[in-house]
Amino acid sequence: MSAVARMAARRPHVLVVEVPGWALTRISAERELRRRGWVRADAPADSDILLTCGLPGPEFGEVLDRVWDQLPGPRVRVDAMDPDQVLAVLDRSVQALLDGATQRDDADARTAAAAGPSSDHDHDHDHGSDQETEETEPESAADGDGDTSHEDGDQGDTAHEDTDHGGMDHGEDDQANMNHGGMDHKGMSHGDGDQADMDHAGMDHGDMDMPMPGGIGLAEGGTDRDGLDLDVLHVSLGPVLPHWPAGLVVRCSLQGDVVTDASVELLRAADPGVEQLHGDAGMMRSSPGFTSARTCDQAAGLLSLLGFERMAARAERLRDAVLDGTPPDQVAADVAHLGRHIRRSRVLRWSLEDLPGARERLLAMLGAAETNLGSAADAVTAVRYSPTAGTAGVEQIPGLITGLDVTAARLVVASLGLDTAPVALAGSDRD
Amino acid sequence: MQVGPLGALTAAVLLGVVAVLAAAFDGTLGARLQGRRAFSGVTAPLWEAARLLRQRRRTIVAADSLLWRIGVVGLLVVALLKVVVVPLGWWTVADLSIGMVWFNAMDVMVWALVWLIGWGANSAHALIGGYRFLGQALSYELPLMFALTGPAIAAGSLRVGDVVAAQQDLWFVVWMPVAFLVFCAGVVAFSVWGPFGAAAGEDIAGGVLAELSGVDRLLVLAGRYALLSAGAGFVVALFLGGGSGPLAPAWVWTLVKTLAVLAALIGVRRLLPVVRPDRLAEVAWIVVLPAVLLQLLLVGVMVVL
Amino acid sequence: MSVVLDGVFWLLAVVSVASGIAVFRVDSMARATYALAVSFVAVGAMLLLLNLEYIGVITILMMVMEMAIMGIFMIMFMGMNPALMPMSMVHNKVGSLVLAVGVFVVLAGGALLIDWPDRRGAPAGDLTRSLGEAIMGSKMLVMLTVSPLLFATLVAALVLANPRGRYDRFGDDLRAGTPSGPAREGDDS
Repeated sequence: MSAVARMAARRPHVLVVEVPGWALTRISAERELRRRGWVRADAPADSDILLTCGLPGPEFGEVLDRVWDQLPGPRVRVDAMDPDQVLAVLDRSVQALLDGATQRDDADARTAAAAGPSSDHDHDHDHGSDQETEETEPESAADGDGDTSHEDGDQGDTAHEDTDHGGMDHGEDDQANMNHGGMDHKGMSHGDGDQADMDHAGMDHGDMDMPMPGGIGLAEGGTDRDGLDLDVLHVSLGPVLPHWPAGLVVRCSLQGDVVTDASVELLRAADPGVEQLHGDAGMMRSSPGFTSARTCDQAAGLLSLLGFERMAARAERLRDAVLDGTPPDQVAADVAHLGRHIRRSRVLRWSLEDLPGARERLLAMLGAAETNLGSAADAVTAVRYSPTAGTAGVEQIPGLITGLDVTAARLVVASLGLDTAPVALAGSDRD
Repeated sequence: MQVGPLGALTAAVLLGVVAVLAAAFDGTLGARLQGRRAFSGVTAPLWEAARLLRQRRRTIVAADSLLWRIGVVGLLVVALLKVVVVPLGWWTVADLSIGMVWFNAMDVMVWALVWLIGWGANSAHALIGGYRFLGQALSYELPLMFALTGPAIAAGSLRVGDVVAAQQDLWFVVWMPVAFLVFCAGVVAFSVWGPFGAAAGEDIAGGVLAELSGVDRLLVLAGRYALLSAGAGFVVALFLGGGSGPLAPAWVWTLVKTLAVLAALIGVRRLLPVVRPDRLAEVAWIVVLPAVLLQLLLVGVMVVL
Repeated sequence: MSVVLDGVFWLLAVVSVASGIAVFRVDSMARATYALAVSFVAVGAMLLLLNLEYIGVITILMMVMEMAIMGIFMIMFMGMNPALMPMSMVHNKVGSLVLAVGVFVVLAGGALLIDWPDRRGAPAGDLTRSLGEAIMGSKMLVMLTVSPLLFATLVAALVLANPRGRYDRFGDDLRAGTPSGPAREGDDS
C-alpha cells in the first residue's frame, strides 16, 4: 500500500444514490461524510465510491450499472440498506479502495474488456500502454451525462448495448496533426474519401442513413422559443444528480440549455416481496423528527443548487442535528433563525426573482420544519408530511419546467420538495 | 527590473505555492462551514491531489480528446503566462510595454479554454457548462477591460511597472473603488469561481468538470486556483500600490497584499449564491458597465486636471 | 540572437499556414474554428516579433474572443452535431481552391517582387503611443464618426432581431416588477 494510496484515501469522494424510500439512509450517509470530511461527489467521473442507499428495482439497477462503468477507478461499489449500516459500509469501502491488488485487477479487467473487441475494427490504432482505455457508455440516462439521440425518439438504449465503443480510443498522435484522420471514428462504414466529398450544403439528414459516430445519433433542428432553428438534444436529467428527487428521471429536449419538452418517469425500488418494512425504517416515516430532517434536507438541496454554500451548510447541519438527537426546540429555534436570514437575504430574493413561487416554497419548507420540530418538542402528533407527495407532484414537473433553462428547471424541481417514495413504493408491485 | 530565467522559474514556483495556499484556505473554510475543526481542511488539497494522481483518466466515446486536453492543460499555462507581467516587489519576469493588454489577452484565452473543456467531453452537462461560461464572459469581460483602463489612463502607460510607480503617493483603489471592485469580480469570473462559478455548477453535476477525472481534473482545479492567484497579484499591482509599504521589503508587501486579496476572493465563494449567467447579463450591462464608464470619466477628468 | 528570431519567425509562419490549411481539412466545426484561432494567434505572435507589441497582443485577444463566439454560432446553426459528425468544411471546392491559390500567389508574389523603398527615418520610441496618437490625433474625426455609427448599427440590429421589447418584459405600462421571461410567453402563444 503506497503512501499516495493512503493519502488518496484520506478524503474519498462518494457518489451517494438514493433509491426511493431510503431517504433516511442517504441522509445518514451524507451526515457521516460530513463528519469525516469526505466529499459528496457531483458526478460519476469525480467519484471513488458508489454508495447505493436502498434496493433498486431492475430498471434502476441497470442505470446504476452504467453509472458504475463511469467511475474512473480505483473504485468501490457498496450498498447500505438502513442508516445503521452506513458507518460499517463506509469503513469497508475505504479499505477496498486501498486494496491495491483488487483495484489493479479491476483496472486490468476493464482495460481488457475495452481493448479486446477493438481488434475487429479496421483502424486499429496502436495506443500506447500508458493510455488507459475505459469503456464509457455514451448513453447515460442514468447519470445525467446527457444522451444524444435522435429526434425520432430513438433513445438509443438498445443501439448502445451492442455498439462497442471499447476501441474508440483515438490515437493521440493522430490528432496532434489536426488532420482528418484524427477524428476518424473506428469501425465506421465511412471512408475518408467519402467524407471529403460530402457536400456540406446538402446536409439534410432526413433519411438518417449517415453513419453515426460512436453510435450516437445526430441532433436535429427545431424552432426554439425565439424562433431560431436550433439543434434539439435529448437529455435525461436524473436519476443520479446532486440534490434531485430519488429515482426521478426527466427526459428533456434541450435547445442550448433551454428545456423545450419534458416527460417524467420514476425508477422504482425493488419489489418489497415478503418484507413488511420497505424503505428505510418505515415506521420513522411519519415521525416529526424524520419529516423535519427531510424538509431541512430539501431546503439544503435547493440552497446548494443556488450555490449559496453558507446557507446550505447551515440547513444541512440543522438536518443532521435533528438526527443527532439535539433537543427539537433548540433546533426549531435555529431553523427559525435560518428562515429569518433567508427571508431577509436580498441576494436570494434577487436570485429567485424570476422563478415565481420558488422563494416562497423555500421559506415554507423551513416553516414546516420548524412547526414539525415544535410539535415534536410538545410531543403532539406531527403535521402529516405531504408537501407535494404523490403522483400529482411528479406529473406537474413537465409543465413547470418547459421553457426554462436547465438551472432554472433544477431550481424549480428542487423547490417543489418532492418526496418520490410514496409514489415509487406504491407502484413498486406494478411490475 | 526584469529577472532572468531563474527568476521566471521562481515566479512559476511561487505561483504554485500561492495557489496551494489558496486551496488550503478554501479547504479550511469548507471544514469550518461543515462544522469540523478548521485545521482538518488545511490538508484537503494534498489529499485531493494524491487522490487525483491515483485516479485513472477517462476516455469517452466520441469525445474530442485533442480539444479537451488543450482546454484542460491550458488554464494552468494561461495562469503562468499571466504571472509573467505581475510584479513581485520591483522584479518582473517581463515588464512588457503593453503588460496590461497582455494580461487581458490571457484572460480572454480562458474563454476558449473553458469552452473547450466543456465541448471536448461530449457530454451535455459539460457542454452546458461551456456555453454558460461564454454567456458569462460576455457580461464580465467588457467591464473588466474598462476597469483595466482606469489605472492605465491614470499612469499614462500600459506598462505594469509604470502603473505601480504612479501609485507612489496614492493607491489607485482610493479614487478608483468601482474599477477595483469590478476588476476583482472579473478575476473571480475568469477563474470560474464562487458567484461566477455557474459553468461548474452543482446543478449540472459539475458542468465543465463533470467528465474530468484523474490528472485532467487536477490540472483544471489547479488552473482555477492559479488563475485566482495570478489575478490577485495583478489586483495588487494595479490598485494596491504593488510593493509599496513601510518597513518590510517590497516583495514581502506584494506577497502579503496578494494573499490578503486572494483570501477575500476565496471567501466570497461561501458568502454569495452563484449568479446565473442570464441574470448576470442584465446587471452587467445595465448597472456595472455604466458605473465603470463613469469611473473612467472621473479618472479622465482627474488626469486632465 | 537573430538566428533564434529567424527560427521563431519561420516556426510561426509554418504554424499559421498549417493551421490555416487545417481549417479546411479537419472535420468538425469546433476544430475548424480553433484551428483558425491558432492561425491568428501565430500571426499575432509574428507581429510581436516586429516589435508591434500592442497590435500583436490585441490581434491575439480579439481573434481568440471572436473565434470562441463564432464557434458557438457555427455549431448552433449547423442543424446537426458537427463535433460528432465527420463532415467536409469545403464548399465549391475547385472554385475556392483556384481563388485561394490565386490570391496567395498574387499577395506573396507582390510581397517578394515589389521593390520596397528603403526605410526613411527611425521607428518611434514608443510604438503604442505613436499608434494611439495617429488614431486619436489626425484621425479623431473619422473615429468619432465611425464608432457611434457602428454602435448604433449594433443596437439597431439587436432591436430589429429581438422579437421582444421592454413592453413584453415589463408589461404595457412598464410596471411589472419582475420581467417575464421569453419562456412563459412562448407557452401562451
